[in-house]
Amino acid sequence: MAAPTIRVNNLVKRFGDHEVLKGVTFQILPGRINFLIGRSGEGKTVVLKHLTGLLAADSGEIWYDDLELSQASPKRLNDLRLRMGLLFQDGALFDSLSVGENVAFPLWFHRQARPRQAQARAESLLSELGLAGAASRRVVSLSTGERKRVALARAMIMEPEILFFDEPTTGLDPLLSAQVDELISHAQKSSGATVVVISHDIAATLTLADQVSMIDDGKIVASSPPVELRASSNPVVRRFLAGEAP
Amino acid sequence: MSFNPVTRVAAYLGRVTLESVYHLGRYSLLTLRALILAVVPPWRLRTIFRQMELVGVNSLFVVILTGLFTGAVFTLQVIYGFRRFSAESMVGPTVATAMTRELGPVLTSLMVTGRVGSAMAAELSSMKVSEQIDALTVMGADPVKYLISPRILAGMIMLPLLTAVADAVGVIGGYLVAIGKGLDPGQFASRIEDIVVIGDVYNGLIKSAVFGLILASVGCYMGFYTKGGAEGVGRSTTHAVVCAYVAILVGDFVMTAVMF
Repeated sequence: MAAPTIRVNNLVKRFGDHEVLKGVTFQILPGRINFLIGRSGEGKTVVLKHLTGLLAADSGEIWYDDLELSQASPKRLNDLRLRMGLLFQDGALFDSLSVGENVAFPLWFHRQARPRQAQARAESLLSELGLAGAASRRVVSLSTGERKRVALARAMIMEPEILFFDEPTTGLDPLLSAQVDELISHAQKSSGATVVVISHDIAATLTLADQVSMIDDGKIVASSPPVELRASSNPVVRRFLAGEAP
Repeated sequence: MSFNPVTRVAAYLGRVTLESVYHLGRYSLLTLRALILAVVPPWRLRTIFRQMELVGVNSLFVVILTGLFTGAVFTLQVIYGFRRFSAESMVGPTVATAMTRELGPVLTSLMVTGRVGSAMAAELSSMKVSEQIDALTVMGADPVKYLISPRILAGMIMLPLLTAVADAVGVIGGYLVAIGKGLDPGQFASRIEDIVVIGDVYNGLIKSAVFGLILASVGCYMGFYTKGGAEGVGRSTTHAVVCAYVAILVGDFVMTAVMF
């Protein structure tokens, strides 16, 4: 199945009296690396949680091809989720399982492979990501960079068509950040998946992205390839790219 | 805007009532959904057995201790009272009836709530705040079926078994104390056979299955809907134990009134 085109129309979300999203509208290019950037607290992760169906919008629509997320039955939503992989900001690995069990979990849970085959697939994926021999380790023994890679392996094991990354380089040193950027690029190229990265890392955005959308004050203020973004005359975009205070 | 004290009290009571109804409704829906999903395939036996081990096997020692000393101390009190009326022959049946109908189910459930219900709340709330529950959802794994249903099933299966152990050990504890206090061992046992009926045991075990449902579902509910970070985890754990204790005691009164 080809990666779906994802469209977000006029998304609004309030938490109590605070309106976080005030009509977010943008499109995600299928089979490309899409970045959603913006300052901390602008609602990037909230958008991501809507895209993955973890939060329901107060109003607005999210379309995956011809499927509108709020109208999807639990079965269709679940089927759609099987086509997604999500790397959480802190990995969200299961502490009670070993590294190998974490990575193999989606295969085991959905009975896509026998336990031994799932474990072998997990070990092979870990090896690809530079973690050969780590399958039997406990999650608590992993460094931050290793956690990110294990979480990436788990997100990729079902060979998803859409990969979401929530601030993948936050809290990492420059060397690890570069490694994670390389992993994102590698993951997209090897699978042809649609990649959506939530980030405020300007350097990574301008290097990796095919399409960048910027959110500010609850709305998308720019959506274009990075070359055009660099040339943007929008003062909010220019200040953000220059790393200046708003 | 200013309010007089009466309005404030009324507003407070209204808010508390609304919140209580909201939590009770959400708790009931979650528990009902978990029970339905528990009987819908696919069943993950390994996960269920793992929870049964945590709830049952790992609580065995503390339940034996509780049963033993409860039976022993209750016997001491009963001997003291019954000697006044020369009714020592009724000590055995009294201890056995109290253990099977009341003390076994309730004390076992309270001990297991303190040990396991709090652990369930802590584990699930920690999974919630570290986004592990969101991760399950995004992977297409229903967290209610994967996390809550096995825990509730384990509670409902293992509590009656633990209660049966507590009942037996409690009566043995009572027997040993009775002998130590000079009562006739044969009379202690034979009068139990005469007076205690099997219905006492069954009803006690049914009560404990309901208590197992309560302690697991309350622990899971508190953990599943945790808000905040580490502070939220601590708060959920405390609430889980307090709410489960109260629910078990109230449930015990209602079931006792209906059953006996």
